[in-house]
Formats: sequence, structure tokens, C-alpha cells
Amino acid sequence: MSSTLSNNAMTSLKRSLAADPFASNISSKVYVRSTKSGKVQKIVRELYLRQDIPCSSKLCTSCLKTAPRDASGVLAPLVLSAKPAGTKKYKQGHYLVPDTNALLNALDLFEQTAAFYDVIILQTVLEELRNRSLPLYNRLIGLTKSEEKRFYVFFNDFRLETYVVRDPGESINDRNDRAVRRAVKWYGEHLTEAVKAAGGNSKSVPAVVMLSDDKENLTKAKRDGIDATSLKEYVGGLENADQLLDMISVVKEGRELRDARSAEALYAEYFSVSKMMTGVKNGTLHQGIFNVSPYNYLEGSIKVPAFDKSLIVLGRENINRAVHGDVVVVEVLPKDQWKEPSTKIIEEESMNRDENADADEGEAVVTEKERKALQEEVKKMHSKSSEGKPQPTAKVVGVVKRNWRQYVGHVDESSVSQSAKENRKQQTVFLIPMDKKIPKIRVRTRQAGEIIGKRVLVTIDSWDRDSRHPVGHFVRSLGDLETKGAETEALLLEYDVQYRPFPKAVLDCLPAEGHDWIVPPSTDDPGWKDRKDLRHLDICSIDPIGCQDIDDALHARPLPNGNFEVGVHIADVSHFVKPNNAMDAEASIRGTTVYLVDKRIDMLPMLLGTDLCSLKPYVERYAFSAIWEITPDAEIVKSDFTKSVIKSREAFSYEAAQIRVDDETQQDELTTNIRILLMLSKKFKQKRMDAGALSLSSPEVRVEMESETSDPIDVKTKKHLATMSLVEEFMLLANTSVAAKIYEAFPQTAMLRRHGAPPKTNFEELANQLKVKRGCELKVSSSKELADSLDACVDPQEPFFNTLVRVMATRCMMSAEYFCSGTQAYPEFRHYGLASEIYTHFTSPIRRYADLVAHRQLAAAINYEALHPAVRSKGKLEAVCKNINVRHRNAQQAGRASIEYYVGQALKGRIVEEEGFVMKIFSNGFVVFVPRFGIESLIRLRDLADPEPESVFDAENYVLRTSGNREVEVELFEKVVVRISDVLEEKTGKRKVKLELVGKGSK
Amino acid sequence: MPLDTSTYSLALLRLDGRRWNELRRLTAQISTQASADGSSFLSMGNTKVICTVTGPSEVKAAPGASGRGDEAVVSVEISVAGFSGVERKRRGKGDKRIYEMQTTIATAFQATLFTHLYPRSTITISLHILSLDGSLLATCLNASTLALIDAGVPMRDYICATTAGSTSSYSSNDEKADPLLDLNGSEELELPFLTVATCGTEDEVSVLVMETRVQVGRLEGMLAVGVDGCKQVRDILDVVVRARGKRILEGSQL
Amino acid sequence: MSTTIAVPGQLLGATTDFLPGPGTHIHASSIHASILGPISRTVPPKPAGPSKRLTKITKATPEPLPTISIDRDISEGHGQGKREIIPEVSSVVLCKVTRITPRQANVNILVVGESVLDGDWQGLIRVQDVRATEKDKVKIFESFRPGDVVRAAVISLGDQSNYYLSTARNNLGVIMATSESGNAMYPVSWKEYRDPETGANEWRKVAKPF
Repeated sequence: MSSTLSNNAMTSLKRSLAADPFASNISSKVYVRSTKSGKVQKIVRELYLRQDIPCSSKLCTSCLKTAPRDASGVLAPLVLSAKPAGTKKYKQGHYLVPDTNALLNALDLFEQTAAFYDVIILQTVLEELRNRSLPLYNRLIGLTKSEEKRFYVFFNDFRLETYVVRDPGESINDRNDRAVRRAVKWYGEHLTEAVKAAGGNSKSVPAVVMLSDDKENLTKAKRDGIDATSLKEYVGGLENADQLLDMISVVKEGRELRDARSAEALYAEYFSVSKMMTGVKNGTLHQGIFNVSPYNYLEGSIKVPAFDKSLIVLGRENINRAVHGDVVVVEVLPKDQWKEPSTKIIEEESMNRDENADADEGEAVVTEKERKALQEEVKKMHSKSSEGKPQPTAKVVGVVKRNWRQYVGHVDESSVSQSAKENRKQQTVFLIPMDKKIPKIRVRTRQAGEIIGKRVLVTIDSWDRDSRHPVGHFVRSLGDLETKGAETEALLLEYDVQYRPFPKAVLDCLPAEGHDWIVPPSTDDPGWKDRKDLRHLDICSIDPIGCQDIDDALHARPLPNGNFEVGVHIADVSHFVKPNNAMDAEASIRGTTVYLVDKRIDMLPMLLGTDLCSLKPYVERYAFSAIWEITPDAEIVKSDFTKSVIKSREAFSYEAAQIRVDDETQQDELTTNIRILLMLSKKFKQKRMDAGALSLSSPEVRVEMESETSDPIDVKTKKHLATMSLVEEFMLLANTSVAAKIYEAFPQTAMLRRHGAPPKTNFEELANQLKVKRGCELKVSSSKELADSLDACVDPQEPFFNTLVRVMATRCMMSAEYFCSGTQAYPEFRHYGLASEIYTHFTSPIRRYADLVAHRQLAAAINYEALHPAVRSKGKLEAVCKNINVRHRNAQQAGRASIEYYVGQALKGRIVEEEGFVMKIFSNGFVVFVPRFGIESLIRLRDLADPEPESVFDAENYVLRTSGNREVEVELFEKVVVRISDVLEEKTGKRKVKLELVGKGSK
Repeated sequence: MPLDTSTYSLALLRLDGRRWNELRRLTAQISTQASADGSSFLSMGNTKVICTVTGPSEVKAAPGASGRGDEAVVSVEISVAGFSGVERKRRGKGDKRIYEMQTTIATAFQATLFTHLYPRSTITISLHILSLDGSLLATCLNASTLALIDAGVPMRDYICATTAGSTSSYSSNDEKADPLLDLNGSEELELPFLTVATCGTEDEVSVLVMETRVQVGRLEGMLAVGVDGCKQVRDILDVVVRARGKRILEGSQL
Repeated sequence: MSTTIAVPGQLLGATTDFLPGPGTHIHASSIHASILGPISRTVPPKPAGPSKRLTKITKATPEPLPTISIDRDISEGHGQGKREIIPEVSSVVLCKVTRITPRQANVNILVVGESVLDGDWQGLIRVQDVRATEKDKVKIFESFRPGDVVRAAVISLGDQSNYYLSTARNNLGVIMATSESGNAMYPVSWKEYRDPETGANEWRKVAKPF
């Protein structure tokens, strides 16, 4: 990696090295890197070798003298303890020095609290780890910052004694391994000297132990007389060895085993990186994110810019070890192999039920069953390829980036051998992830018996060519299946929700007064600076029942000139959460509050969310107010934004407010004001609808809980009240006006929200279905047209039909996203669904981070306070947007999954017959949607009768006819009656509703 | 991919193993080209510059054009070699950044040289950049000082320059950021920095250029470190100049 | 003798002790060096003391201050001690005409004062610098021909490549000339040379012989 001073520019100008006092301490690092465009660059970096890098052991006094100080003269504290823990082998105590492989394979282990203290991370290792895996690197950096784990980063490549020059012909890996060994050796000698200098016993010198999984490295270490051990051996010597051993990735061992057997490869080899890069560059290959179809695990799709329609990847061989979410490179197959997306449901569980996890004897990539299933598909395609619109198909030729995360799942009981349940013999089991799109994972464990029936967390380590399934390792158990705790945690993990309690650093940012904090009584207090006193206004809030984090409150009052003054008051969170402190950082990571059926995972600590920021009634609170003057025709005359102090008169629930409004006898100020608001909101809504705002629909249900045990007892669909749209309209108004204001003040960096117009192709299928089945025409060229044509989609006999169409149309939409105004052109700002030119989120700063940013920007726009640089930097904002977009989506999905789980629990043990509608038809099954419970589920043909009845699928008319032992004809959009029962789904371990077809028509 | 500047806090070590207040290796030679009136070669780390000085020579064109009849005009030409960066690149004359550097250097020396001794003449400083790795302006200023001394152009005192930065970027707003001395190329890409030059031993700042954003609070520390760095540079240059003086002396006595 | 070297900016002494000489400047009432070079102090010769015995009491004249200066002719001293002699303004040089145009004559400078130069230095005599009077009537081809040896004075260091020379004095001008037929000629008047063999006269700006 280095050549000493060979890079002087002109030899004639070169000075003799002896004259240079630094000469022995300078080296330079020369390395070659290739850029994205494929160019090769040679980079030369200087390297200053020094002797004042401390060993950071509390045993050593000599290093302390030369230890570095920062600019303010503060000494970095020593990290490694003087009396490190010992093991059986190293009784005197030991420091650990892991090499890169050890960290790559088992970082989970290092994060354990049971062991792995006093670890020295070498710079060489850190750099290599960063190259190999950024997430692991970040986790490791996190570890080095935690004080109790005592991880110390030793910059061995900067220390004269431990710096290693790469020998000619030596590979980088060998050089790095040598550097690690050199550092370990130096540490050993250094510590011995240090202890001697302090007059200590040489026996009490802690051992310096190198951890490596590389056999060659271990042998060489032994030869050099260094304490070295493999991870497995080391962990084996620890107290809780069994638990920890499982966490060691099986990669290394497994490979050795296989190598010995000279297994033949099952999958095609990936292309080399350069081949992929050139291919993508000249257009022969395509790069994209691999998505697995939710109905068919053997079908994936990839959206690439070169094709309008996404590319389909069919079958295990073509998928070639890609996992849902990976960034892959694909090659398009010849045109005669193009197909339509499958109309058949294929589930892994039903196909490969009896697979042996240990699978020693020759496994084929594609099982006979799978092959048959796919062949039938193909046949069907060919038969009607004349009028069908085949989609291009492709095969995966390489993976650019794995997006593996930790997966939640459960152990496939059938893959556990009976004998292993009792004894602790190591064996291989299958782990079935909760997410159907993820293939089964092969895991080696000793605790198979214990983790059966538990929710467990696993990581995928690798997927080799010679293995049919990815290989992973077990991380930890979350608890028994179907217990609330385990299932909730599983959900949170699966959707990457940060649910751990707030760390101390965050809580330190809270006001010291705690719950006793009040708005300062004196208006001279700095908190009152530039704040309007609005305590005299009759302000109230309207929220769902039981809402604790009250973000918004409203008021209205008639003005002498006949107009109305309307105010929307939003909790002033930005007063409490200052930019760039620990609390802000935590909130920006969390991005949003996540609502589960029985739990809320807050974005901000409780103290703020439910008390200090929350606009509770009868107390004074800081607020950020938007105040408009509005004519009786709902025209805005003027608008004003200000920080304020308010005192809410009452906190209504939607229902309570509705009752009050409807009650003619109530004529007090507050109620009349709400009536004004209601009147105005209706006009606003009408205006919005006229402008082409869409009224979309997604099935929403509420789970009723028993108040004490909080067990679910019933499911209700949500009712819609006029007061709900009252609040909604004014929130929309506030959001839109704030968006315009901050965009005007910060055209490059305003935090906005957009909703792209969906591409026409998204609606193609739905439009065709409506045309064929109902003769309705769906126009999609503008949101106005779409809204109108949706209104026209009615079935006089079936009032629910319109809602059904709206539900389906909603799924064709793009998802709305946050963005930073500088990244898009103005026309792209449009919010399609709301038919608004510009939009942002401003009204819920307690539970959404985007709103908090908008608050800060608005405060700066009205010159309340200077804009913090972090909120002004475009790059930072983009990163924030990216994160909160993901978090927002995850939170929604987690919420839905939680409802789904509880619906399942509520129906547990009950059998109900209910009306449903056919939403989607496959050649061997169909999807039924039950509005009563907001559930949709698949009914397979084999569920209809046993053996599976013969069927004919008319894809043009969306009709499925079965014959044989049960004759049914199912049509798209048809109303059916289904029997709902619950069943424990074996594949995912979730309790789910199961639908059975009872008959057609109404109950 | 090596580590980036975020690892500084781990062990108070920079990307190349230096501490916050250390200069890179600075080597300098004087009188490297016989044909020029004055010349020098100076490298700060991997930034290497050759400087030649021509003049003072009489203005060729009509003296009215330059507008300065009573003192010499300092003009600076900078050429960046195509091979100086990582990628081979041809740089045209119209590069605005280079143009600005030329003006900065010219203005600095216009004020420090005794130009009034050479009416109606020009002093041309040509800088050839052979290798680029940060602190370019500072390196150019130091090389020019040496070449001007070699050319025997009277001046008030040395101009010594260096860069100073801060360990974390502007937007991270880290209040505990340490100031840094003498940034290399990769640090300059990521961190805020300024170039400062002093004239003489009394911390008289003659050039201060800053093109990145940083919180005002951090500026003072950066400036202090930069001025201190200039002193270190001055000591190194002084040794080189004196060695040259000694050789002259030996020569004249023979 | 140990001569010390001064570097620019170095403090040399207070203005009360020395007078600033070449290569120095005054900054905050002390003398500093402006260039690199050996320091030299020159004590001015004492004014001739009174030869006669004093007949009346006079105020003692103040002792003149020594001048401190930095020598600077040495920077080109690549060779061991041999100083390069180069033409300077007002030095008289001998040169050879290489080329003439209606506006100027280009010359190679060969000798400065008494010393012969190592290399060639380019010089040029512009038409207006040929003689002191009737400048407008001067024609270069009636003053010089290529090959003539000319005595001239340096009037300016000129541009990058040429010294500017002048022959506008009586003792300056062509001192050796050859005729068109190739014979050495002798001057006959202030503006004519004659070929001794053919007897033909040719125009020149003739230098007045000593």
C-alpha cells in the first residue's frame, strides 16, 4: 500500500533524505481506485508516522505523557481498563483485537453485554470494515463511543512501530493481516514494559488476543508467538457459550465443509463488477431494485428506466439469489421468452414443504414441483400471446448492493429433528421470515429446541452459488409466538421503527422544570419575545377520543366588517426542540410517531408530546398561529403567521363536537364559533373538489379493546363525521399557506410535500377491468377528470361498489413524499391528490419531524429567529427528507400490520359470515375484500374443495370457472358471502383470518 | 476507501496521521533555475510549486497603459500542470479561481515589495504547479517569497502563508470542533478552511481568504492557529534563505 | 573576516546608530534589511582634521554615522567568485551591427567598458538615438551597415531582449567599417568613410577619433 517517497516530483530537485528531519517518519500511501465512470485513478496520500499514539491502557503510564490533547488542551481519556476480564484460557485478563473477518461475521457478538469488553479496534481493521460494509462500520463506531463497552480505536498505521509496508507481490489482505499481527505483538510487548515500569508482576500483564476466523492468519500468528484464537474457540471458553455460539455466522465453517465436498454450483455465477458496469453503461444490462411479487415468490419485478413496464424475473434460476430490496443488475431475455405477469398464486410454503434443511444430498435449484408450476404458466402465455401484452423478462446477473437487514421470523418446526429438541446438538433449521417476500433462511443452531414457537430475529450472512437458500444466523429471540410483546416488537423490528427508550442525552435536552413548566407569567420574559398574546381568544381543539398529543387548536370569530377571523394554532414544538441537539437528532431519526393498535411509539419524549407542547385545555401554552381573515364566501382576505401564547377553552372529541354543533339549544360562544368553522370548511371543501381534489378511500377499521386487559374484542369501521372534515380543511389550509410562505422565503431549501401524478400505465388494468365488467370509463389525464370519472363509477344496486373502486384506485397512486424545494422544478411541487400547487406538513409537529422543520423555516421566514444552518443546508435537508419518507411509509405499514394482527386476534375462535367483494382474480384463486373488517384475503382453488377442482380462467373477462367436485363461477367485483374464521398461518406464523366461499350475493 | 474526516474525534488524529496543530512536511529550495532572476521550489506535503521571478524589467508597452508610472507593477502568472491532479486535465487560461489567486498574490506582494524603487517596470512572478494536494494559495505565496528574495527584490519582510480549518463541517455545527493547521486536499474538500498569510514576525496579517462557511465562533480559533502556523513556516523558510546567504558569501570570498 | 548575512526583514540597528544604505529600509525607527546579502558597514572618511592648531574654540562637529547597507551584486554568483559583467545604463559598449531596418539597427554587444563579454547581449539603436541633431533627417542605412563595429552608450535596460543604445555624441558611432567591396575603410568626415582602394565614399555615423 505504500512506497517510500518515490513520488517526488523532480529528481533533480530532490533533497537528500538525511537532511530532512521527518524523513524516517513520512511515508506515503499510493493506491489505485476506479471511479464510477470506470476510470482508474492513482491516489497518493501522505502518511505521517508518529510515536505519540497512546495504547490507551490504564496500566500504562508512559503513553499518558505523550497522549494527544485537543485544541483546548483536553486529554482524551484512557479507554482500556487496568483489570480486564479473564477467561479460562487467559486468567490474567485480556484485551481483544479482532480482525476484519471476525467483525464482519459476528458484530452481533461484540454488541452483547455479557462479554466482549476491552476491545482494541485497529485502524487497518476499521478501514477494511468500512470498505466491506458501511452499516457494520457505523455500528462499530457506535460501539467505540459507548463508554461501558470500552472499545478503543488504535491507529496502528500512523504509529511508527506498527506501520507495515506492503511487500512487493503481497496482497492487500495479507498486508493487512500482517499489520494486525504486528500491532498485536507491539501491544503485548508494550504492555509488558509498562507493567514492568510500574513495578508490577509480569504475570499480571493482560494477554492481547487476536480474534480471527482466517486459518492462515491464525497459523502465522502462532508462528509469531502471538495469542490468537478463532471466534468459535474464544466464545467456547466463555461462560454463556451456548447462547453466544449461535450468533457466530456459519459462513466460514460452512464454506470449509462445502469445499471439502466439492459441491457443484446451483446458481449461475455473478458477472464481475467491471463487466456489470460496462454492461449497464452501454445499455445491454440494466440496474434496479429487485421487488418480489406478494402473491408469487418466484416472480420478481424490476423497474428500469429503459423500459416503460417493469422487467419480470421469473423462477429461481433467473432470480439467482437476489433477495427483495437488493440492487441488482439484470439481463433482458430474448423476446420470445417475454411473458405476462403471472395470474397464479405460488407460495413457497406449499411448494417446498418437505425440504430438508440439512440437505446434504444433491439438491437441485428448481424442484420438480416448481418447474411444473411455472411451465403451466408459460403454456398459458403462449396460447394467447397474440392479444396478450407480454412484459419483458430478465434474469439477474449480479448484485450491486445487498439490502439485507435483520429479519423477524420463526423456525420451521418441521425442519427441526426430534432428537435435537432434547439435546444441544448443532443442527441446521429453516427460518421462515414473516415477510413473505424473503426466502427461507438456513440457520445453524444448537438451541433449536428452545426457539421453536418463538419469534426470532435473524440475519442473512451469505448466499453462495452452491446453496439453494441463503445462510444466516440467529440473533435473538423476541418471545413466544402470538404474545403481544413479541408480536409488537417483531412488527417494530420488521418496519425498522426505533422503539428503544430515549437515551439520557435526549432526556437532558428537556426543560429542567419537567411537568411543572409553565408559560412565564411575566410578559417581559425572553420566552415572550415576539409572541402575540392570544389568551383572550376562545380557542378549542377537536381530536379523536383519547388523544393526548394535541397538535392543533382552532378559533373563529366574526369581524365587524362581516368577515371572519379564523386561527389555526399549532403546538410550538420548535421552541422546545432546538436544532442539532441530541433530541433533535433522535427525532430526525425517528421521523414520525408510530401508532399501533395498543401502543404509540413517540417521536418526542412524553413530557413534550403529551404535556408541554400538547395544546391541552385550561392551561397556557406556546403556539405557532396562522390567522386569516376570511369572507363568508371562504375567500381569504389576508393571512398572518405569528408565534403566540394561547389558552385552549376545551378539548373536544370529534363526536362531542358534533353533538354540540347539532344541538340547537347550545348557543354559547364556543359552539357558535365551531358552527362558523363548519360553515367555512364546507365551502373550502367544495372549492377543493371543484379544483379536482380526489376523494380516495382506504379501508379503515378500529379495533375495540377491552379496557382492562386491552384484549381486542371487536372491530368497527371508522365513522366519518362532519367535524372531522372541519379540522381537516383548516389543517389543509394552514399547510398550504405555510408552504407558500416558506417557499417564498427559502426557494431552495423549503421543506415541502408533493404527490406526483400517477403514470397512466398504473391505471391501465383497473380501467380495463371497469370497462369490461361495468362499462365505466376511467379517465386519468388529470386529477379533476379522475375525480369526476370515479364519481361516475356507481352501481345502483351496490352502494359499496364506488368505495371499492376508490380503494382500488388509491392503490394505483404514487405515494406522496417530502422533498426539499431546490430539488424539483416548481410544476413538480403539485400535490395531485389535494389538487394543490404547493403543500407541506405544518400542523403536527409533535408527531412528524417534517412539520418541525417547517416550523423552524416559518419562524425564520417571519423573522422570529435566525434559521439554523442545518435547516438551511440543502444536502442535510435532502437526507432528512429521504429518511422521513422511509419512516413515514414504515410507520404506516407498521400501523396497518398491527391492525391486521389485532383483527386476527379479535376474531380468534369466532366464525362469522360476512359479505365481501372480489378484488383480484388469479388462475388458481381470487382475493376477497371484506369491508366490515377491512380485511382482504386470498381464497385458493384448493381451499374450495379437495382435491383441487379443475378450473378455466378467462383472463379477458376476469372470470374464473371451476368444474369437477365443486362448480363455482367467480367474477371480478362480484359480491360474495364468505365465512371468516381464524387460522394460524404456518408460513409466517401470524394468526390471520381465513376466508371460505359460502355463496354469492347478499347474506 | 480510506477513512474520512469524521474519525478525527476517535483519536485526535487526522487523515494522514497528523495532530491538529502540525504542519505537513515543508521543503523548500532556492535558486533552482539559473536562467531566471530568482527562483524557488517549494512543497507543502504533496502540493509542489516551482516559482520563477523575472524582473524588475522595464515596461515594454506604453507606460500609460499600466497606469503606474511611479512604481513597479507585480504581475503573477499561474500555470497548473495537467498532471498535477489525480486526473489529467487541461486547464484553460480562463479559470476564474486561478485568476483570483493571481490577483491575491499580486496584491499581497505589491504592498510588501519596495516597488517604488523601480518605477516604470514590472516584476513577474510565474508559478508552476506540479502537484496539487490542498493549501495551494499558501504554497504559492511561500514559493513567491523565496523566489523574490532570490531575485533580490527589496521587501519589507517575508510573507508566509498557511491554511487553517476546523475539524467538522459547517452544517454539523459541532461546537467542540478543533481548529486544524495546514489542510491537505481531502480535508479541504470536506471541511471549512481559510488561507492566512502574515508579513513579518509581528502577526501582521497580509492575506486572508476564506471561501467556505463556518460559524463565527470557530473563526477566531482557526485564525489563531493559522497565524501560529505562519510563524512555523517563517522559521523553515528562514533556514533555507540563510543557507542560501551562506553560499553566496562563500562564493564572493573565493 | 566573518561577514554576516542578513535576510529581508532582519533588524540591523537603530536609526540613531546607523544611516540606512542600499538594500535596507526603515521601519518603526529601526533599520531593517530588504534583501538577502552580506551586511556591510562603511564608516565615512573622517573629514580632514584641522592641520593647524586650533586658534579658536569651535563646536565639535558631530561624528558622522556609519552607513549600513546590504550588498547585492552577488546573486548571480553561480561561478566561483567570477562576477559577470553586464551592460548597465550609461556604460559605453562596443558592438557589431547585425541587421538594419529603416527604424533601427540591431547590434550584438561585445565589450563593456574595458571587458570583453562572454556571451552576446542584444542591443538596438533606434533611429532617433543615432545622433543628437537633425534627428528627423537620420536614415539608418546612411548611418550603419551590418558588420560595422560601433561604439555606443547604454541608455536603458530596454525590453526583455534588447538593451537600448545611443550614438548621439561626437565620440560615439562607427569606429570600424568595411566597404561594399570588402575593404576596411577610414573615416574622412563626421559622416563619411572612404575605401582606400576604390576611393568610393560611404555614409556612416562616424565616431570622432580620439
